[in-house]
Amino acid sequence: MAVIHLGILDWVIIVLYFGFVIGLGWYLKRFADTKEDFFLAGRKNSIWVCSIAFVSANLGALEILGWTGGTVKYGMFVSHFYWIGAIPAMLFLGLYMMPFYYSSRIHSIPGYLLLRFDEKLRLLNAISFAVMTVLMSGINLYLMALVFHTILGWNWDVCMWISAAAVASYIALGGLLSAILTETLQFFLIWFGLFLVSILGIIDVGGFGGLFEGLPERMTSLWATSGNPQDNPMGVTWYGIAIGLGFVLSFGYWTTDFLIVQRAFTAKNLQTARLTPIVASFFKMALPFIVVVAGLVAFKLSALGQLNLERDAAGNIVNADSALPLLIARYYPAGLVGLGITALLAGFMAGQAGNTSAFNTVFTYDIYKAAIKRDASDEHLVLVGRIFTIVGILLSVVTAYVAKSFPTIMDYIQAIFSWVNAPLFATMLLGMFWKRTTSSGAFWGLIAGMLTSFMLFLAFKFKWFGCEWYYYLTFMASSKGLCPAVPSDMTLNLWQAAWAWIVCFGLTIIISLFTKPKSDEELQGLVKGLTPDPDLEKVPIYKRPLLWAVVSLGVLIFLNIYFW
Amino acid sequence: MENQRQMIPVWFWVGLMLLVYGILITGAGLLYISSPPPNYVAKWTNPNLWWGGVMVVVGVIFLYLGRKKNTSN
Repeated sequence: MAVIHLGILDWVIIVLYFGFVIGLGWYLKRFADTKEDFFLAGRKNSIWVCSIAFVSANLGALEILGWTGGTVKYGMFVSHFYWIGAIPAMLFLGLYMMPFYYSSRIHSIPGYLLLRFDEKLRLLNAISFAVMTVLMSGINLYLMALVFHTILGWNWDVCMWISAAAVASYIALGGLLSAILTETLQFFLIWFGLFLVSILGIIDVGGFGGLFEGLPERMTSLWATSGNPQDNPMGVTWYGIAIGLGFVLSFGYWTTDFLIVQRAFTAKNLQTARLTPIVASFFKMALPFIVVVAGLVAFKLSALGQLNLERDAAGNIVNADSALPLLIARYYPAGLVGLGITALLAGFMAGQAGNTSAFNTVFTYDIYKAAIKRDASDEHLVLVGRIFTIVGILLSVVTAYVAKSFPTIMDYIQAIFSWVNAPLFATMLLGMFWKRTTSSGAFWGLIAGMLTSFMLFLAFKFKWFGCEWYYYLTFMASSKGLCPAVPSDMTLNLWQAAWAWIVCFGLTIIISLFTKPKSDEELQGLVKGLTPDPDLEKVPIYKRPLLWAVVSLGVLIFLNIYFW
Repeated sequence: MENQRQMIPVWFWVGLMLLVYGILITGAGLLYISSPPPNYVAKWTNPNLWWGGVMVVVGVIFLYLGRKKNTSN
């Protein structure tokens, strides 16, 4: 049954958005004729556009719906995914990794792997990234149709095909430039469309004091209940959060995922590229004021019996993802409902566009040009990029239909995707900061890391281990008395990634010590120590990346202490 | 290069979108003064009116920022 009903004004607002983005695509087509324009948005974007696009590429509607629902289940612990689970990695990318990425004038992350290592590592990463991007894009499409079918009663197929066609048209026309500019629109739409839910929610429950009053500490603290996994709703420990999320998963995602990092490649110069993730970190830190606040409001209202979240016979909330749509229905009259729904739609479409633009770049440069037609002209590459934008979208639609028929397949696809990045971070870290790292070491280390993550996923899912091993592998041996209960899925995810990283890191070092590295001449500009540090002499202090990184870190520390 | 010099900055599009949406939503808010819609909790604040107004103001600011055609966004 539909949760929200739309009026004529709401429909006008939604249709206008489609008109905006498709019209923008048509307008931008004339600026996307060369390969630099189509695949790198001309490398002329300012710090604001780059940083907004950088954070928006990660800001899909699923993220917003999912983490608002996640807050209903896990409370303030969700903020870890926005703060320690993102900010240090973003700052590290801007300060230390971006000079290697940007200065080598690459088009993609696999492009860096080619320069630093060799063709086989580039192809391994390009193929795994392209396949996983299409699959993830398909899952997003499926979930989008599911969400709009559930909350609005829209037809599943119509919803999916219209949004897929809209994304395909504006990306095929304007390439990455279209993706980035629509991501900028989406950023403002999300803030204007959804932040009001939090504001009205806070007013509704009697201010911040009223919001926190009567809620258990496990719902309102960040670290205070992380000493013992049984004390917090996520079932994790502080060191699991710090190592698994704060280091491996977060660095793996924010520093090596091409979908995200591609936005910084479009910057007009190295200084702007370095500042991109650092400025974006401030936007990222602000997002819990939409997501977490709305989730806590929903939890509070549900506890008071004023919000009808679905519950099972035992009283547990079973469909927390409906929290945000229910709040929209509660607070928004006609007009604002249309804006809120458009914000969600824009989020879905921007996520789809991000996947598609990253896919067409990697496919065109790192698979087609590398393995099929090495002498392709600029015009030919742009044409291939446009064609494979459409192909990528069509493959996403096929994936969405597969996911609709076999919903459990989504677990596997998401698992593979999220863990490809964890070992890749080990490869990148060693590649950039240890010149002794060899191509063979990196290749076999990465394969072993990816296999480790996937085998652990299967082992945990199908219980290949005895119960106590779940606790040994997650460094919670003291809790093994809880068997036959196993650690939470969140804990298992964090440590699977950590193990994948450890295996990749260790094996890469061992193999590298026994194989021949590249010469210093070959590694100029690609490795720390063989790359000149960025020249900041003429850059005013207030524009320097380090200053803003320190400010960002200070805000992060303040937030963590304040909400301890 | 000629084309690049004439590109309308993204801030213009952001401003246009916020202004159009702001006008529509504020308009609805004005109508709700005399006949508020039923069944929503925050009707006493008439959020369409003031939130739509905020969008109009921000939209105008962005239109102003995006009035010049630039080579970069």
